[in-house]
Amino acid sequence: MVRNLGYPNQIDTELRTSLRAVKPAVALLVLACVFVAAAALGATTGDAGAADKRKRIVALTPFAANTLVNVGVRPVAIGQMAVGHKGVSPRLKGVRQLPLSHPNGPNMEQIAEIDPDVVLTSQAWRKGTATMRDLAITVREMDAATASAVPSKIRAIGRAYGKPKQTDRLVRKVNREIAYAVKGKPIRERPTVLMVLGVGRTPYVFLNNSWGGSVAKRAGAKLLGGELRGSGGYVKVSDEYVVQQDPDIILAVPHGNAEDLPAIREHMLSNPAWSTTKAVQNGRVYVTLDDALLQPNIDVGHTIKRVRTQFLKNW
Amino acid sequence: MIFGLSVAVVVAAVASLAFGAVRVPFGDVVEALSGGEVPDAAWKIVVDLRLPRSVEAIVVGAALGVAGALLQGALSNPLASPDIVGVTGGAGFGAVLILLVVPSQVALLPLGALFFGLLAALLVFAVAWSGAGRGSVGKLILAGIAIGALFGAGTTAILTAYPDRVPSVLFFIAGGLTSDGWHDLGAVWPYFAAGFVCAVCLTRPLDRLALGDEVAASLGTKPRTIRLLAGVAAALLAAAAASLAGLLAFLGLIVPHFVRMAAGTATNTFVVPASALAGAALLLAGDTLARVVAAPVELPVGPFMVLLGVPYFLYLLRGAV
Amino acid sequence: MEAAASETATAQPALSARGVTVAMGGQTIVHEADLTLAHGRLLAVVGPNGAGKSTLVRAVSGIQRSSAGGIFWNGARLSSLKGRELALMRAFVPQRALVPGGVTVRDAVTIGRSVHIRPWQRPGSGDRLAIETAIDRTGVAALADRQLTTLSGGELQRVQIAVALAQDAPVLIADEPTSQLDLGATVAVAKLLRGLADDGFAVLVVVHDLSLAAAVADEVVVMSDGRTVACGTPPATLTRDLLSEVWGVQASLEVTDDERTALSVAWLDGEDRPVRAARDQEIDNDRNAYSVPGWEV
Repeated sequence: MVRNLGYPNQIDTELRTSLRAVKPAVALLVLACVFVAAAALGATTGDAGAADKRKRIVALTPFAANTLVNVGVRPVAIGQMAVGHKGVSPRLKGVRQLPLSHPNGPNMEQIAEIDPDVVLTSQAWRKGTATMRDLAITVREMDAATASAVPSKIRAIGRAYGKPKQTDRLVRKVNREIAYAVKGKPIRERPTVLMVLGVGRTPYVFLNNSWGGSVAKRAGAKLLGGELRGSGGYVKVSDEYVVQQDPDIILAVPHGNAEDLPAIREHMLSNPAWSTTKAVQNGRVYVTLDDALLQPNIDVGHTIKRVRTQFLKNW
Repeated sequence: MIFGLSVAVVVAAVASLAFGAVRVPFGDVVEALSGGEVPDAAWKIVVDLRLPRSVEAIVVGAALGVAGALLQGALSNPLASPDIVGVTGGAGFGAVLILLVVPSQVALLPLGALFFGLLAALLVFAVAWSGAGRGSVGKLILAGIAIGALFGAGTTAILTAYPDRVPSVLFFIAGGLTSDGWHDLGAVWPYFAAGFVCAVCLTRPLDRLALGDEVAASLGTKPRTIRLLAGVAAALLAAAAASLAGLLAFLGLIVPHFVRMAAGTATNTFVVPASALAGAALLLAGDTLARVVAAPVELPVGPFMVLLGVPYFLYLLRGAV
Repeated sequence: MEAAASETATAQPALSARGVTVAMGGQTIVHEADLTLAHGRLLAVVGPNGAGKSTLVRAVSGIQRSSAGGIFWNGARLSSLKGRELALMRAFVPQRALVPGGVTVRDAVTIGRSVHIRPWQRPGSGDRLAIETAIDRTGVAALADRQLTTLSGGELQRVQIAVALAQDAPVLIADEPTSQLDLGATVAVAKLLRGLADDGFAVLVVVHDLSLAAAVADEVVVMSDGRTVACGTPPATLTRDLLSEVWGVQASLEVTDDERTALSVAWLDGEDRPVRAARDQEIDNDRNAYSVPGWEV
């Protein structure tokens, strides 16, 4: 009779064997952690570039690209925008576009081939930063996280790389547009807005510190769950909370194509958690694919006004 | 043990109905469930949101527990879980395909995940049940790993092609329940039902199989047929579970070991029903925590089940024979 | 088991197999083998390694598919029997059973009883009695609550027989039940099997040990190269000539008056002994016999 032992025995034997090996293994792990920590420190304490002029610059975000072209600098390459994206200045026509993909952002071989002096990147592509620095490229994160950061970030890019006069002119123009959007018709009351990202039954709400959330807030919305904390500016909130807070307006920013919108809207309307909210009862559920709510850009004033006229109807 | 687990399920279910992101007085919860007069919001929250979600937690938890128990029993392999028949990889692919590539069909998400989960399982069985040595445990496991990798590659390819859309699928991949009323459960319940019925019928044949193929054959059971049926039942349950709650397959791996070690017996007539109860209780408790801890933010349920189950599991593992 | 005993009277053999042929992987393992098993008799299948003993026994039990021949259980063709019907006619004790963790002796025997328990139901009082009877009969009552994984080889073998007895079939088939047991455990199993035959069971056993076969079996079937070459009572069948022809060994079977059996073997073939020359002079005699005491029946 061969004793084919049951699995608890097997596990036990394996466990014992592995326990014997535990001490050197722990030591190795600790060593590995130390190395990783050291490497991470090295990666973050990089350069903090001083004022560079007349450089070959790659702008990975539309915000940086548009800012550069408006302050008198033509970037050597820009990050490729989604199909049909209208958020880039026509003056950038003909500039080389680099496809971006997770997690590094641009293709490192293409970057090496272009060999720019500076790459203006955003938090989303942070993983590629270290590699580009290894290529002796100055990498700076210069993206406006929220609507209110737009003027200061424009000024920062302009001071570092652009022409002072054009920079001042651009900042004034952007400030004027924001002021017109906000003050042209004063905001009297703030409706509660459930602003959600993505599709499916687990949509994430925009927080106040997200780009889209900050735009909607400037447009007069009180974001449902906007004051919550969450990394990346979005968080999944409980449907019970939605029922309790009873939003006046639901503004959904899913992904997809224009022809998908009716089906997506219908699916959202069928959500049992939302069915009794004032938004659904009063037919105030809006679904939009407007990229300007997801992607920081210098035309933020126009975006704020668009949110007011199309969704909040307070203009 | 069965009694204790039943009590645990009831306690967890009561907690799941009583607690949530919004505080509803317990009296109102009872009143709402018994059809009494309560404020509209309380009614909505308890009856339309919490009740179906608690039921989903019970069904999904039980399904994953049973799926794991069936596979571990049928393959005599302690590491068997619904991953092994390709279901997890297939369901993940189906969900990502619908959410990212054809978001207009988002209403079909549960059925899409179910379809691709079962398709993957079908491919695994088709490969494992052909050629020489058909139906052998090793062949099944290898086919499952290969086909799981195939669908996993498909999932990764889609995620890479639509980097801007990735947040929509994170919750599905991490695994977690949603408050979707009775709609999704209404669409996939026949698959759960078929899986559970198969499982109940299989417990005794699986016990025979535990003593070896020849003993099973002596008792009039066809070992290969039982293995195939157990695999099919597990695939049905796991795919249906994935369609409702995303990828939580690890529950199916852990729970059967949990009940075996806690009770000191491995007969399937005990392990299968006990895994159903333990899975239900664990998912109910984990989901309640996931809803309450950071309320009103909802967290994925996986880590909470790990937090609840793994310390006790490790304690049992240390003392296991 | 009472039911089994009452069937002793039926004239029809419990099992009759004619011209059984088994092919596996393109190779014919068993050629047109014949076998007849009557109630109350113990039939031993003997033969050298690779002669096809186990394959033949598995084929007639319906565990291994046969490619030709007629196998009849109580006159019914094997292929016409459903799994459960067959399970009520014969129980099979495998040479190597799995020993799962977390299963006690009583659990295992209960699994053996499962043919009689309806789906959705727990064992009834009759079933519990049958389970305890099987445990008592095989002498494992003291081990009933022990886990299978904690048992010795001999104990496990008796538990395997208890599992088969709980099945309550009138025919018991065991594939090399003693092949890995020590002398004491072998004797215990042999007594058990002989006792079952005396109680009216039809017992079919594959054995290696010819002196054991001679001691317990009413009849032996000798297999060689996949064929059944001889059949009859042990002393009449296991002759010097047959042992020489089938096993290629100079040996003879000795049966004493007090029912002891011994195989007298010319282990080292007389003159030509290179192995012995290379070793220390430990074996003093060419003729080295061992004997097994007679069976108390």
